[in-house]
Amino acid sequence: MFRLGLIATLTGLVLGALGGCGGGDASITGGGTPPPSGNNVAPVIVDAGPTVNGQPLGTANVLFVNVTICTPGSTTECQTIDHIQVDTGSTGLRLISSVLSSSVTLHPVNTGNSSSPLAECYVFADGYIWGPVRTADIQVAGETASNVEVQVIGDPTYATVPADCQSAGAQVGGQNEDTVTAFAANGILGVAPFVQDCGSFCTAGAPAAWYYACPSPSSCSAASVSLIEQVTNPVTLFAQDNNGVIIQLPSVADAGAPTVSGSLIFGLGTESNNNVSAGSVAQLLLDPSSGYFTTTYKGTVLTQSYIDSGSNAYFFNDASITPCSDNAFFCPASTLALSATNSSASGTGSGTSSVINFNVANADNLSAMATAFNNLGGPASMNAPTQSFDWGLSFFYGRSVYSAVEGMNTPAGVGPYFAY
Amino acid sequence: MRARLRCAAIVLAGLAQAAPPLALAALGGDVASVQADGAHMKASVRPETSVAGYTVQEMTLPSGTVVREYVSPAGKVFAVGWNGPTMPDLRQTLGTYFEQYTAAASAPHLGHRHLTVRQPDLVVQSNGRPRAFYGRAYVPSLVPPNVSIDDLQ
Repeated sequence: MFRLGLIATLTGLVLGALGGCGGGDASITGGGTPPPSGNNVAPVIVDAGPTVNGQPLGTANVLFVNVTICTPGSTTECQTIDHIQVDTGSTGLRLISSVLSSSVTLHPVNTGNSSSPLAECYVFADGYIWGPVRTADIQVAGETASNVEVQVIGDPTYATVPADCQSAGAQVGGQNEDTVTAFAANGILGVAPFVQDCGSFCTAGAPAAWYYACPSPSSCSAASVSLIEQVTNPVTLFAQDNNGVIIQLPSVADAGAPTVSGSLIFGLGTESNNNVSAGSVAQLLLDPSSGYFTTTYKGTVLTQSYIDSGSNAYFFNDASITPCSDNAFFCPASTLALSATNSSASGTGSGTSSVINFNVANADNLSAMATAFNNLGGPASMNAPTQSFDWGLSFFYGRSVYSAVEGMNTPAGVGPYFAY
Repeated sequence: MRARLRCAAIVLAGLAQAAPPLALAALGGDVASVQADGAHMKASVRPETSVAGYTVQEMTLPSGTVVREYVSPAGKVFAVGWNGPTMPDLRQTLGTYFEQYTAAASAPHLGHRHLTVRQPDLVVQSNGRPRAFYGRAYVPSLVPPNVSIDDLQ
């Protein structure tokens, strides 16, 4: 049962005039090669996003998958949720409370330390989300996992946010707008190259603004949690095909595509459709705690760079490229042909380095009828004290991007790494 | 444009607000508030270093996040920067500017990796992913003359 949330008034800045974008164009699946198939292959799509109040939200460069959740132990109390964002930048499945069907009962997670239900403050760059940790049985494509720790966002029972969680910034979607709208998705499937969303930092010392033990929903205190109690990358809990993922998207034309269909493939080197060999791909070994690698752009070495399907553009600093009037994206007079070199994080060993040629188009000239762009770029917003190149979804078109989970063995070595 | 594409890097403008009375916190506060930040966040604080035109106080949070607080010759914290696995306690480090920041950040926007709040008396640029954040905040009117915010070390 999908209960529509409240939609706050969104400024023209965010939505613009979308009314006429009826769709009907066939999605592009790329030339020639049939898409992979198998139990470990989930179709993914770039389109206008979930429907809110009867209309697609109007997203662009957001990658979506369907996820089925069930009451733990049940095969009948299940719900398939569409438009879950595939996010290589975060870890764990997070579901928005208003989307959940009442026919599915997710179980609370009681911390071993205090026997109280767990809740979590999960922090993004633009603020925090708050909600209980629950377990669900999960199925994506033919892969299943039982009793997976997930987070429920916006649970009305958990209305009181602990003070030190609030100190992380604004509550994403919490005040003025529906949470589905705030996330432009019905949930997030975080498939970063990590196993847990926090890791060893949360296993001792009850750090602020992470996990909380809640004897009652309005009385939560910071708590340490073991690794297995944390919100977990669901892929790592599959019985097989659990050492990483491949995101495979077809190319798109310079003008963008109305929709794009691709594949989220589970496992690296575990089936006939997911092999990766070190010699045949560019491989970037990642800093084991941050997931960073190094990008060199116009002679500047950017040591905090990352590949991120949860970003919707290339984000990097270049003062010579004209920004658009609102500074959100780049608006060069004509499309720029640029290049950068990616290499492994320092201290990780060599991997390989590779030159990426990419385009940045004038964002204002891109069609409002398309949702997928390989040439959307924007300023990274600050220079000092460190610099990043964010390879967002623009990077993924026409590629297979391999993400290997920390500590997991693959034919191309042990994760964490990205390869393409 | 493509208003709906204003994702992930949204510049949220707004009117300046009258500053409430100073609290014991960093941005806009005095040097003593830097020590308060360090204590509150259980950080290990390094001795300050002087650069031309300002001093820098660096502290490392238990998570490993490095927070730098930049103090003008007039003794005011004119900028703070952070880099690391967790966000700093922004209520502490933004001090009297925290409510202003969260109000602006609460305005509708899409994308969760790059947020810019740009107001006449406050600029906040918050970037990154869980486990890998980097950002800064500064008060334009407190930046010492001859100091470029983009050149802060």
